[in-house]
Amino acid sequence: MGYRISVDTGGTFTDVVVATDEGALHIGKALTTYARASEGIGNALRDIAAELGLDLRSLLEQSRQFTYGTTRATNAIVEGTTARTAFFTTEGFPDILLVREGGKLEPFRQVAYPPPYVPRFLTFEIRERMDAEGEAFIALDEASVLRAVEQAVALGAEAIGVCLLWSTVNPAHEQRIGELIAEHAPGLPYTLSHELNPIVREYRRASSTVIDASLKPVMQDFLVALETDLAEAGFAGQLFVSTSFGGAWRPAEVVERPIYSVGSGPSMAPVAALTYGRAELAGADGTPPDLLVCDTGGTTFDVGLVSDGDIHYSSETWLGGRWIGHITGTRAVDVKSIGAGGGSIAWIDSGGLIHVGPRSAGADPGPACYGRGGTEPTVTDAAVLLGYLDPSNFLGGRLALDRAAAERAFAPIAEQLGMTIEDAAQAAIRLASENIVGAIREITISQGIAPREVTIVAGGGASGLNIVPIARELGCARVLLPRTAGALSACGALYSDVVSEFTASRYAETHRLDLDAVNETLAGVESQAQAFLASLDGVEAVGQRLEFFVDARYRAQVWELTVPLPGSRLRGPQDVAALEAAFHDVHERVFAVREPGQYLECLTWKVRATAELVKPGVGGRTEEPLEAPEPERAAAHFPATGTVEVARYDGAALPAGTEIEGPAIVREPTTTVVLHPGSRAVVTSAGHYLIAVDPPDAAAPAAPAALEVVSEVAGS
Amino acid sequence: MAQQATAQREGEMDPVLLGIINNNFVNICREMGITMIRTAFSPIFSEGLDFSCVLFDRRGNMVGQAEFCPAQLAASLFIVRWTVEELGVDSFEPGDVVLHNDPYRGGAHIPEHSVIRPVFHEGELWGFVANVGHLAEIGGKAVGSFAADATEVFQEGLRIPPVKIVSRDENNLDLWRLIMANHRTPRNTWGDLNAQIGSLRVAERRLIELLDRYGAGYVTRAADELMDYSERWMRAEISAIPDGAYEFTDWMEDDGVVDEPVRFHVTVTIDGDRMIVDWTGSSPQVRGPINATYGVTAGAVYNAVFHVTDSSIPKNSGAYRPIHIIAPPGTVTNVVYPGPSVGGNTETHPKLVDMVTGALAPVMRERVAAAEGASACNFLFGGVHPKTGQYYANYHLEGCGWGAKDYDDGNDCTIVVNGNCRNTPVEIFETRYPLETVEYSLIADSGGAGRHRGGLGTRRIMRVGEGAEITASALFDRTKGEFRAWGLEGGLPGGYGAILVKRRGEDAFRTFPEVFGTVSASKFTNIVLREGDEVMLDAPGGGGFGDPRDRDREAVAHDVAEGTVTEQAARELYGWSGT
Repeated sequence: MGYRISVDTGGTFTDVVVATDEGALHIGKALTTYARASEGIGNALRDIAAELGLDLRSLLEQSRQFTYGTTRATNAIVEGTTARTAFFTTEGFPDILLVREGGKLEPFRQVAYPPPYVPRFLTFEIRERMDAEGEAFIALDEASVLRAVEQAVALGAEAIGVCLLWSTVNPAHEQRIGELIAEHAPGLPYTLSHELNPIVREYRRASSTVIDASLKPVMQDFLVALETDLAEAGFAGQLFVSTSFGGAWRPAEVVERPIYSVGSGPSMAPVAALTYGRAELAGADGTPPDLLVCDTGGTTFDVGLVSDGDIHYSSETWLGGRWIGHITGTRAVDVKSIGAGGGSIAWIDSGGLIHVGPRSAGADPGPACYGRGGTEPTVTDAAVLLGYLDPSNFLGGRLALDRAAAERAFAPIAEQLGMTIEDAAQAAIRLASENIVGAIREITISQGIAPREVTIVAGGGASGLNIVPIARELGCARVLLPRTAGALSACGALYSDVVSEFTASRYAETHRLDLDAVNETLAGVESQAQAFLASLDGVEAVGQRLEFFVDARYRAQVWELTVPLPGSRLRGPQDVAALEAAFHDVHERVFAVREPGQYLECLTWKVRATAELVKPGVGGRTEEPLEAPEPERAAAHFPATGTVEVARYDGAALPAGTEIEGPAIVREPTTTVVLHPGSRAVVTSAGHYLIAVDPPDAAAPAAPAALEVVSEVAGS
Repeated sequence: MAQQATAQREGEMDPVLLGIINNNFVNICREMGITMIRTAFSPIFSEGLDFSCVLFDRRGNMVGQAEFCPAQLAASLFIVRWTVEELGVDSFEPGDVVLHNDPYRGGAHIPEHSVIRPVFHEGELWGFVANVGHLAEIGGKAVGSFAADATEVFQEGLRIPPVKIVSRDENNLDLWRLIMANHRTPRNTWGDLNAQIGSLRVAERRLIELLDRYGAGYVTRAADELMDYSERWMRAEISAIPDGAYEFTDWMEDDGVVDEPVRFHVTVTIDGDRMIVDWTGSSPQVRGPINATYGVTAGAVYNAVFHVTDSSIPKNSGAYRPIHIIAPPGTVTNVVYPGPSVGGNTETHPKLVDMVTGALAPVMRERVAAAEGASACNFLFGGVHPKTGQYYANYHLEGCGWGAKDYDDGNDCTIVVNGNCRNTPVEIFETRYPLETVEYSLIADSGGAGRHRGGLGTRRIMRVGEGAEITASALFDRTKGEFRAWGLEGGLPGGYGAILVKRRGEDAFRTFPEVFGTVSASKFTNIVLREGDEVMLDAPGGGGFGDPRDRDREAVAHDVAEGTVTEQAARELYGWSGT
């Protein structure tokens, strides 16, 4: 008997979910308060405790698990408040962190890139060099290490990241440097690249290493304080922290490898989507259809993918901009952010065309209708003007929306385009949807997934506003909108397992594979994984599993793909052939071509260790209503119909099996479902909304406005 | 359908729909690009992004493009017109694909291969989808098809006039066989050309969906309106520049064949809302391969104009209308048959871009930058790998320092203005090629001193590994004399580029003319290097902006602390007195 609590800290809102033993989920939401994060969480938890007839202390005392998704690490990097970190690198290569991997994204503008993650004056070149086969053709000069440690400490370094060329093949020099740091600067946190992220490509590995080292002191302090605070508040259960893997770690593991808490919040949305997809949409074999996971926040629209029942992962997470920022280099749930959230701002360019985003009003000041000082027109303001959001009952009445402020914000655009306020608002929603559709097409097509064959799982407070027209544009006929959509990531944290990956680099070609050498590598990572699982004593796990993978590519290709291995070892030619066959299939899905007969270059061998935790059910409601009450009537504006009277339902009062024909609006405590004309929803037995979307032809166009307007604006 | 009702309303166009159709034009091109990246074999597409995707109406107006490679700006503007003029608009049938790479027919240089496919809607030709991509290997005298001492196009690779490589969706296999027999890595040619052709099918399908939805007539009118809109915007930008004729002269140190500097001259005239860019006064066409084709010169002009105007102007034919180019045939800015041109695209293009912005600098000081390193630092090598016995070839580039601006320092180590290529990690390089990297680091003081400092170049030293022998070619510039990246308003020039060699057992780096007797120190072909030999590649730095003595003292102190400026240079050039 006991509650399970999860928290997701977002840019605009902090979501809190409490699951009861029976599987009922109670959701709380509070505006993220950067100054005192605990304040928002405490308030949201207090509200939920009241729903359960408890006070905060007894709720915490009766909770056995608390999973915390924090943006502490990400914020420290963005704000530049990480530890002062030194970088130790191979002599001759001091600028790995500055040069990165080159590339420029804007062909017609010189865009400045931020300085290297560690400045040159804190970068120390160590005399040593391994070759690609791990032979030390320059021995480690320990005197150069001691000088570097001494100078780094003298310059006030609070952490050290060590990344030497080819340490993944032979880590001896890095290991020795670790010993020397421990000996000569005892207590100073350090990260060795071959231990943290043993991948080939020096920039990625070095970037991982210095980011991780710079977070160690910060996360150590933060998590110790969190544990103490929770204990004082009465919590005596198991504390977990969300990771970018879409898994949960105990605080000690996060302190050891804090880089894995960067971006952990968004990674949980696909975990929730997969759980709902399995429960609500799976075929006879238990595999859900391919899922497109859409999570709308205040500033971004996050997209993740699930195919064949597996969440997509990526090693391409950049902080501060692709190619010019800093890459984490670690594997994470693949979530791509589109600059189109509820706070995205509508504007007119100097040529006279209207655009939406990527600039956002964010959480502060937020959309104009929040009444917190925002004056620019946002997507959320448009939704108020169109009648999609109920000003008097937003977030279950927790935030009153100011319709007049939304109108004032849209007036200049409407005037400049010669449109009514409603048409201008409609244009903003339409363009925001178009941006999202374009970005989703790119994301899915480059992963080899046809957007019209997926089911969308929509989450986030604002996704219900325009997910129907987005699905329609994509040619996608089905949307699952969980009743808990408003807190998709926090729910994902409740459904997550303890997951960790262990990696080793060993270059091998499949046409002349040294089975013993590869199996030795696999045995090495397996024993690390086993040790990790064994260390989880005290964690209430219902099962454990190990999965083996390799990162491989065709001969002379640039990038690798991750492919599952047929077993824990390669036992002979048949296993190698199975590996090649699996690679051909993945390559064809992702790149649309295969090259039969071509051998593979294998780079990195990895094992994923999972300890399955007890999870609540997917039920979305606390009690079953018997009969739907009459809906309210409200006015809403759609492109096809103009302003019409629609039914507005209170979602909590809808019994399972209820069918609702669009146009209609369903109000949930943390989200709003707008059923545009040409769509209909059914309430599932778990209380979620399964929406069928008609193809585009059923929807009529917006009334066209005068062409002259554009000319006038452009000519002025 | 309901949307077609919209199309029938005469004289009215929804500004929101106009924006959406513009997004669709761009998105179709982007999807074409993603398809190429996904399906190509060579890293030059997937990593180098050395291609462009374009959409045209039936009159050959470019209505949309995805901005992949600036080097192909002009090629992607002209290819359809020039092909249609030659073949005739009636020669196209549904399912055809025309291929060509002729530098004298609008191309940038011979490795650039264009493919063009007509798009028919309800039996009528609506327009064309096309893309231009750099094929990695197309034969010719040098590995990697980059002959730095070529004197005729025939040495640069296989030249293909506009021909149908696909007719009514059937491959012309005789033509394929002929092409592949003349390229050194036919597997890549097959894969990459098919990726290009396949992407056209994707774009055709998406364009037809768009035409179905809004009606061909409506989309045509939207395209016209969008071109007018870009034109108005570009004219407004040009009108903001004071009228006048602005001149600029710059030099290339040699052409790779004759050891003499090559002169480039431009006059940029602003006349109300139009701009005339005249290259008269540039040197006659030279023997070596640094001649620019008309496509390169025009592309460089557009690239420069886009750099100094609002970069969000939609890139369709309308944006180009107010820009007029004069490039006399038979000069280095408009090579005629059979002059060589392979290096014109990498080395001459960035120089021409800088010249146009340099000419405009006195009247656009807040928008221009000083000269960039402007050399792609092309270094090509190949051989048999001693460990695998397999043949390999590699086309290696370096980023240079970029020019400083009135408001900021120049970027360090960034690929030239006409390219997108990224760099190869040392650990990837060492798994593929039998060379060990000894050093790869910024060169202190290589950024031109100034109130804002030019970006730094890099030094890379590589040693030929055990048992290996490589055949190397190079095409660099700015290695000597007064040919460094110039500064503006008292800013000093950036550091020299260099390509030097140290033979095994020797203790100093020397030039290739000293060691191998090449004519040029920066441009040569097919030099054999053996185990233990070292090559040093220095990428040039960017020019500075403003008097270095006016540089913020904290910025100078930071430069010294970071080692980007030496203490001595800080004292001598910046008048720094700190410690």
